[in-house]
Amino acid sequence: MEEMDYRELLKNRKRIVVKIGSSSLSYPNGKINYSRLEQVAIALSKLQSEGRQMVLVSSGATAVGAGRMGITGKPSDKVEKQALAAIGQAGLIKIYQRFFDRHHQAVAQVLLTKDAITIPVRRRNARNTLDTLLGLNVIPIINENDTVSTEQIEFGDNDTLSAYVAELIDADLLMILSDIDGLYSGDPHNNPEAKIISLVTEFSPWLENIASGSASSFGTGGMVTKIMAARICWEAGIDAVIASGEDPFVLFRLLKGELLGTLFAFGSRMTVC
Amino acid sequence: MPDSLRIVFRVEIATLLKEGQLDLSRMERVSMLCTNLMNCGHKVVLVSSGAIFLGSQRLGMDGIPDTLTGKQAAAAVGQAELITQYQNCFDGFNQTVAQVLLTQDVLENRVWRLNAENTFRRLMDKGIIPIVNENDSVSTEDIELGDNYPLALQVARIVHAHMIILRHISEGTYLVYTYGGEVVQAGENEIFETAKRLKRETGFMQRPKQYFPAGVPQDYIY
Repeated sequence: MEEMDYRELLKNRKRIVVKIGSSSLSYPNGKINYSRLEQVAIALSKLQSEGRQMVLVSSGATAVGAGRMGITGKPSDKVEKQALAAIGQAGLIKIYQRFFDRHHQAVAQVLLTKDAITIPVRRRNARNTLDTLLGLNVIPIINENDTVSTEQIEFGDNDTLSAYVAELIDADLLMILSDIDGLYSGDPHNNPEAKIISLVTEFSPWLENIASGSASSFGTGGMVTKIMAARICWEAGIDAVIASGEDPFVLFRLLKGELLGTLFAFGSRMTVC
Repeated sequence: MPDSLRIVFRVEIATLLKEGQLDLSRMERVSMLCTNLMNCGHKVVLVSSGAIFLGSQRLGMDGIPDTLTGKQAAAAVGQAELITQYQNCFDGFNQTVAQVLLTQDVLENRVWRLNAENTFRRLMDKGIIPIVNENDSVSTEDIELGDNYPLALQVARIVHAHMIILRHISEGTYLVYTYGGEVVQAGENEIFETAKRLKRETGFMQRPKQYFPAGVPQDYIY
């Protein structure tokens, strides 16, 4: 299959998980970017009304909490982060609700810890709840339940959380909107030769290296968790896209088949082999 | 939270309704009372149900859904609504709130419990009211609508509460449990009086031995 064919397939993706990170939802000083949140709400409402089933995995609770408390910079410790997340999650869902309301789109809040995915009874429950919400034309807004999560039960980052959610609900597509516009052949910050990779059809050993953190040129944050998310999608046979979150309306362009970001075309894996 | 009295304020959805609809003035009343208790130096944790009710209403369901899945979906929709409304009400009194969703097993695991305790303590230190509900959308136990007393009791244990405001029994009158096992019928002013008395009694007792009654007295069920 040609790349354009893979891209064309995105047009028909129905059940879609969109993940947007806090760097895309806030300004460099850490304060929340409300118009970005609004654009996300507009984009998802629109896509939902096209007959798709959208799921939003949104970070930003800690940023909203910090803003509310007038705190700048990173939280000093884990308890502080959990406290800010509890304050901010209330604010975040309130803002989303207001923005989605304007487009007559009902939303729900679902806070997950990892045991909701790993323990069979909980898994079935979480799945049933999400299925029911999607059936009722509601957009679930998902985040990690930071307030109570401890190391054993935390996802740790929303990239992998979003991939687990995509796998849980049998999504057709995971779209990760990020501060980087795709997967590069090297670290674009210090390698001018690095080029964006537009299409990935296989989870290669090179990607495995990045996911395990041993490809040091990719640093610790950012790309590592995204490739870990891609690996979950590979195993589940789900397409994934990484694209820039600077303009959430990029979702429309991607779903029209435009060549943007990186497409991990894993969805056709099951039918091809 | 040195020498502050800790109060768990339990709210049932019935308290917030008037003729079957959410009555914002009642929610405001609760918010004001909580804020006033904070303003005179106590720490308050609000345990409020209402998510399933608000969710089913918002989804246009005919009454409360029968199935666990239906309830859980309604809870996910309604919790977003509930916390939004609370935040609006508390904003009016310039009081910051936080949302804490717990599953029933939080007390069973020492690490989780400690974790929850730390979060509550940090929030209370910052002068914030945590608003607690069960994380219904993922919990596996069947959800008993309206009875959030077990949850309130759990929270009272986690935060070492001195007092539980158990129920709004009639206009302006509340049923109050004290850590010593007293059951008091109190108007709003008497709540403050009772809190003051408990604080005098306890002195600096930060982990009071709790003798809260195990259930809600039948004669006060609506």
